[in-house]
Amino acid sequence: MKLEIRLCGFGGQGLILASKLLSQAAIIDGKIATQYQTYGAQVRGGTVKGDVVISDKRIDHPTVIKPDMLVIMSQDAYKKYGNFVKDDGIIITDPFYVKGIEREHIEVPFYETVKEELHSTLPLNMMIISFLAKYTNTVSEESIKKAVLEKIPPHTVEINTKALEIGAEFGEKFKK
Amino acid sequence: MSNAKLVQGDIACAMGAIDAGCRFFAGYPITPASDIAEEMSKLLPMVGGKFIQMEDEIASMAAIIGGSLAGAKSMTATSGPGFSLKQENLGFAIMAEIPTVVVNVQRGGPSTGLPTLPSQSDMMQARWGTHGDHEIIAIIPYTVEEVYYETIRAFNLAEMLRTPVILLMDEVIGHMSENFKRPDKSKIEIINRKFPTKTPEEYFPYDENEGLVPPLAPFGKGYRYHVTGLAHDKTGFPSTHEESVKRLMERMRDKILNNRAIIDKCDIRKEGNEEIGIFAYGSSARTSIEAIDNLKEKGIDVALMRPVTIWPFPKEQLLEFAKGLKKIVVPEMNFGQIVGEVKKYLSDDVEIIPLNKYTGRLITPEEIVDKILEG
Repeated sequence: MKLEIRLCGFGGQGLILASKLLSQAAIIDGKIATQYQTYGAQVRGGTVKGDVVISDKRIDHPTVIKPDMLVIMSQDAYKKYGNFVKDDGIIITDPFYVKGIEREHIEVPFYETVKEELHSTLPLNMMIISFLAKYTNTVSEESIKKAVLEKIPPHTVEINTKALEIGAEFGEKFKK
Repeated sequence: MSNAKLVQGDIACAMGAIDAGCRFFAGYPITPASDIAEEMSKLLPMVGGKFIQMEDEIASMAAIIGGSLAGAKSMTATSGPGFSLKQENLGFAIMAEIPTVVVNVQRGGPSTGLPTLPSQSDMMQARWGTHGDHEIIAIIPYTVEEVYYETIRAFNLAEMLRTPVILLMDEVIGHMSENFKRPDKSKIEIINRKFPTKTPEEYFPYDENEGLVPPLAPFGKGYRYHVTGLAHDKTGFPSTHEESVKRLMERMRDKILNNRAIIDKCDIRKEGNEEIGIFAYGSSARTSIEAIDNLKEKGIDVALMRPVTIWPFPKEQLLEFAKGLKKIVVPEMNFGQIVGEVKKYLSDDVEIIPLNKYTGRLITPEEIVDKILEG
């Protein structure tokens, strides 16, 4: 098993942190994982990507070459990374951020959902990783939760835990 | 469940430094090496060490020379532009024989170049960046785990041989994270510098009667001596006396070349039936291993030579590796720096094929496979 996941969007959405937490969760599960990010000089607003490779064997080439799962969270990221996905790869987009995609893709309303359910868009990244864990069946819900709780400040535990639960529900719902 | 954690290359470097006994870090922030400084600023105060952010990279290199002279194992970390600035004081540390560890997390250049993207284009700068005849030790790890262990080894070599050691990474190795389990400290070999056995009155800092590596007395312990970048005699005071200069130059050279057994480190993966080899280091070696696995599935066996110590260049190991090989591919993220060294030592019987990328992107396994298949 080897799964290459790319999360791309703009700086400030928490996608690089999300890629780190997803990798850490995979490691808690006993898997091998690498994580790598690309960003520009901007702190917020520039196009960013967080790459995750999860495998049950040693990972040699350290970064994603062509993802199996591509999550696109901005129009610019779509322009930059939208065409780099495996032939049988899955593209997931948030319709709030990305429009006009011609190729086959799955639309998941991450932004609208966290905004409506949690009255905050900050835990958007948590919903995404929990969604991916469930959707791909590669990382356990418990390990995701453990990885997240190790990292976040105590006062954000409740809202982030809820975002993880919603993400898992959506992951289950969108499974083929 | 596993005990490993997701750890970033730069952070593993800081952990390795602390575990090696580093107690002084001076630096100036620069992507992709800033994470090392940031981590050292957190870790050093916890172990009674000192962290200082200097006004620039020149001063940072000067500060670690001072820190080391005062007896603290010392390190700085930078990237291309900062590595250029450190060269003058790096030469001073070589000449004055001050143990220091200088980390260069390579990014695309020249000048400010590509701050957030990888490159291996300072390989020759590590060898010849500072002026004058000198030997240098440079190490280039390829995984987060190896970054940790090689940082420790860099300190051990620096302290043992009274010399600067350069630890080269590239942006990917520095910025990527992967499984790493910090080992129990009892399992790590730590080497400390020799303390003088002579009294302050009898002590000479560069006394060749003490062997190739005379003990270095820490400042503040009653030993008074002179430290200079000028050629000097055993007292440390300048001397242009021909015999004295010759002995100094040769001792500084020989302390490296005669200790190759402890300095050299190579990862050679060869069964003996291969006709094709790859010579690769750092992140390009990881890509090469994946390419080798892909080629094996196609029925093509390819050998690998991965130098961990790149300077002094592993000439003898290369000659042994090349036996029986018809061609050697050398993938590098530069115009072709180390391939020149590979060519220098091999006869025309072996075809040397460079594979170069200098766009701030990693070489892909496919590119290496294609290069080998196209002949």
